[in-house]
Amino acid sequence: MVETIMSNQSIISIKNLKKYFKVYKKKPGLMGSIQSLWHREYEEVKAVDDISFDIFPGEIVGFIGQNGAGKTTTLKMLSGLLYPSSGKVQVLGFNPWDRKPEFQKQFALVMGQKNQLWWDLPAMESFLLNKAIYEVPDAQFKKTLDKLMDLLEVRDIVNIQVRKLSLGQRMKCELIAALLHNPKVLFLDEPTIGLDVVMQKVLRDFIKAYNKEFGATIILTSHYMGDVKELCKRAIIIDHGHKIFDGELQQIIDQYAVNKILSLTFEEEKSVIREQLEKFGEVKEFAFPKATILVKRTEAAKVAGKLLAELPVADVNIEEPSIEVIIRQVFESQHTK
Amino acid sequence: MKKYPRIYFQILRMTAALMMTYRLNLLVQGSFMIVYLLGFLFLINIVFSKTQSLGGWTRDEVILLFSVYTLIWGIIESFFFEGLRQFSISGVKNGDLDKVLTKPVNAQLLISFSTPNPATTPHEVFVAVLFIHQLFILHGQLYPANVLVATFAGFCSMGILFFLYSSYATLAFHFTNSSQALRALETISDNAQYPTKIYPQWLQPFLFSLIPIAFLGYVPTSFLLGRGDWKLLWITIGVLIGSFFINQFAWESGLKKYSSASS
Repeated sequence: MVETIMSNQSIISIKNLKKYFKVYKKKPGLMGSIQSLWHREYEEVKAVDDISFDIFPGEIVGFIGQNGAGKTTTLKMLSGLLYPSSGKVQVLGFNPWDRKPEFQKQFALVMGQKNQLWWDLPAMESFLLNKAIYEVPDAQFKKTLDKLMDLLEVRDIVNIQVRKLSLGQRMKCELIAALLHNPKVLFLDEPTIGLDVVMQKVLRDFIKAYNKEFGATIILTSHYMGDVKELCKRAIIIDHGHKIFDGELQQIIDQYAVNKILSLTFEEEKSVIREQLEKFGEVKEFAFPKATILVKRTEAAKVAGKLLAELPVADVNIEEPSIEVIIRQVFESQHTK
Repeated sequence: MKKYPRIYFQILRMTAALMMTYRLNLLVQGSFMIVYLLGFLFLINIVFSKTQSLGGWTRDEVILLFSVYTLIWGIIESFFFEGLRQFSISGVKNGDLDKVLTKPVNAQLLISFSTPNPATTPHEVFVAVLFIHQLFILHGQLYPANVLVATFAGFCSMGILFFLYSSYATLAFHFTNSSQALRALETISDNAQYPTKIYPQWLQPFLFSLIPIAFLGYVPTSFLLGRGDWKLLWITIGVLIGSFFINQFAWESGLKKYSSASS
């Protein structure tokens, strides 16, 4: 009997999840290798350390963290690939590592750096294999495949050997293979990694459309903040296995963005020098007639008013720093703690 | 239960398509196996030019044993040995198991049967002809009841071999060079073409358990020729049940240890 830990209506629920790995530390060089034959030092790595959160149906949640933060390990536990060291997880009411077929038919895991398609055959063959594995009825298979091929514009490449496709085309086919059974929950682990900006945009649009069309719940990990910004209202930030933030993206900005950016354009016929700007804030860039100043968030409006009053400003913009910068600040603030 | 035949049919289709893409491989592999077969027949004729029997078996009986062994080994090679070999090389080390474990299907069956090897088919046809030829020669020794028991023992033997080889493959969960274990078993399996009785008494229990070459040919052929007794039948059933549980335990405990591979 699975004990229910899911809070009201949540589709994914994690309580105090931990995953520790025992890692062998080898000393460098030949001597280190010889010594390791009879004496080995092991280190316990806390890949995921006491994480809890709930995810609700239809949400797209960005899972953000630096390399080795524990994002992929968490996704692997959610999909039943790894047993946790401790803690409880429920996805769609199932314990993932029981690996029940009824559960496995309702989710998909897509890893940007791994492929499930048969390399030497056209992607269509792998689609047919997944059709048999997931027992997708003929009519549903045809309908879903048609829809996905149209959304991703791959109709003319699904019959070409996978190894002859570009990375972007391959990723599109990987997504189709993963979605043919219409999963309710989708774990996307860096789906846009290595893709050019155009292809990143295509995949983002597709993920958004898929979420809208099928009401799927999606957890997305990505190093490209563009993915998170465009797709996710909510973000969970983890660092060294700990959850350090869980909330709306805007909240991260409110909570962690110390400064705002004032972008200024001066009247060209009048002269302004860098030193005149330094009393207003930290000058990040200056190339007359343009300048960028960092000012405290709370004083941004006041400083902008003063600048307008004292200097020949033709145009002023108050902007939030980029999400990348803010996230970097979040991690830096954690490490200083 | 139509699911598994459908999956396997699709895998066979894909493998056949793959093999036809690399037709030269198919030709070379098939030809090599036929040369091996002829080599054995040549060798056995030399051996029997010096002696009348081998471990109490006549020349025709040994050739029948060889054909049974080659057929069973061919079936193993065609259906699951390559899958197990691939798993022991990269399934755990490279995290290839990830893409199977999330699927609503018995993961161990899928990894074992996902790499069929149709290249052995021409060879299998040739051996099947040899097998039928030997049955005609030895028809005086064949009785319907024996054929039935031999068929049953043959299926049990394939079950044993699947479970034991799968158990060896799960060593991949514990150390990276585990494919050596399967390679060693493959090499040792050549010895299954001779009657198990020719091996030293102390070694024979191992040939029915840890190194299960007795089940590759000796057990079913013994029943076919009426040489098998109740004791051998019970040993076969006992080993089948034991190997099933060993495999279950090895797989489940291996999965608990599985740490995937970094993405």
